[in-house]
Amino acid sequence: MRFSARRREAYGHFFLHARINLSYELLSVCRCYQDMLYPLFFLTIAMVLFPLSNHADPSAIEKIAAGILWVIVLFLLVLMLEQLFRDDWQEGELEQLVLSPQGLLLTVCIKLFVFCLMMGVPLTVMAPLLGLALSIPMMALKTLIASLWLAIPTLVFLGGIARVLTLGLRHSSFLTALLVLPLYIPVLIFASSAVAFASIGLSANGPLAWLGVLLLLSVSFSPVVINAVLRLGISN
Amino acid sequence: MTLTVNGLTYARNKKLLFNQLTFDISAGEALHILGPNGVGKTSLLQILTGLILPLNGKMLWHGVATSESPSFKKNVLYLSHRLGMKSALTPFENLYLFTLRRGFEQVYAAHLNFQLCSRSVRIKEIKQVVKDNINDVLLKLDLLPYSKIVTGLLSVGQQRRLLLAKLLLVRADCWILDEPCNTLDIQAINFFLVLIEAQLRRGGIVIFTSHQSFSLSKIVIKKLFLGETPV
Repeated sequence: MRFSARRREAYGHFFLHARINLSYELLSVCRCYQDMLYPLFFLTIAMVLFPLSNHADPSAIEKIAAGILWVIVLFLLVLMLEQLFRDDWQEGELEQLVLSPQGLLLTVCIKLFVFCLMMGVPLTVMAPLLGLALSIPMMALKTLIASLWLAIPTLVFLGGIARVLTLGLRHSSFLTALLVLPLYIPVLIFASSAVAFASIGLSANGPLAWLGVLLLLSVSFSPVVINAVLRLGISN
Repeated sequence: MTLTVNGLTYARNKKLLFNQLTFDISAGEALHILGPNGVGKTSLLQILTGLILPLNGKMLWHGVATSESPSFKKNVLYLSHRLGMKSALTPFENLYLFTLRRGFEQVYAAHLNFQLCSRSVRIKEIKQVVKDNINDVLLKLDLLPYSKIVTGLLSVGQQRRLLLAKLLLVRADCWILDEPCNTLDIQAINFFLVLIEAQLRRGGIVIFTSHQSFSLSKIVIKKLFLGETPV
């Protein structure tokens, strides 16, 4: 009886920790909202450049629109990855976390989740506009948003591993990009094919299901890896 | 309560920083690590906390290796030369998060008499206690007027002073402090010395680096020179 009461207390603690950590993490992201806006402007400009640079044959863009969109999203994410864990590391918060008696895993998961939101929400808001710029038909919009939400967590959680491995190195952003871009290829293939299928009116369930598989795998394994890497040593 | 360091060896950039370093500190003792820049003071502290691994040597807490002792993990409090908090949060929020991460258990222990009321009431009660506690500590450190300003906007001295709040908020037996007196004003340094004295009196351990030397009347501070021993 006593044991079960204890256990209930422990679960209660877990949710209390998760809630407070999450709210403060979100709060600190919202206070630095500029970090979120600049990449978005980059995305918009990059997308608009394609139609502008192609006067001769507007239909050429239509054919490869899904690919263009996803390549740019990928580059945007690699650019943004540099921010993941950067402030926490520079301010010494990560080493405090490693030393704290509470589990590191929960906090790492929350940080990654907040980063997914930070990427996913603006991209979802922008999606109709971007689809319009690249002349992706409106009927593919739903698939586009679904592929964004399925792919971004995969990309962020995989990128997190590369990011913690390169923390504290010089030119770490390039190294991170080199490490993660090969791992992003499956996601790119499935996500762009989903959008491409949907824009010609075919069912995109197959690629989306594969994206779901990748999502589950990366979300369940990468926090464990990140946890282990952080514990191995984050000295400067 | 003792921290025993036995035969610690560490090298950085192919240069041997310390070789076969051996010392021990028992309850109520302070260790002041001295030495010129780049001699490995910070590395030694990071090794003691477990953030980096030594090439060789053992560290024992109550006779158990520090890396395997849950009690060490619970009792070590490390303040580095960095902020160790989020600069986008206010001092109050940072300290609240810090207390949460150290575990509300300490507060729980003080409020065992609330066992009878329901869990949600108890948690509410504990949160209130933690909040009052943080406000008290900020008041003691003269930081209460700044408690709603983002930490990144505080001056460097105020940020260092805020770090002292961590020492006041939770009870930890082993303090490991990297240059705690840097950029502190005289008043804050005196306050810090009072803190050290209280910690030693209740049987804690303090290990710190500093280029200043302190003379405290009532307590003895052991000194450890790294690098060339001064004549």
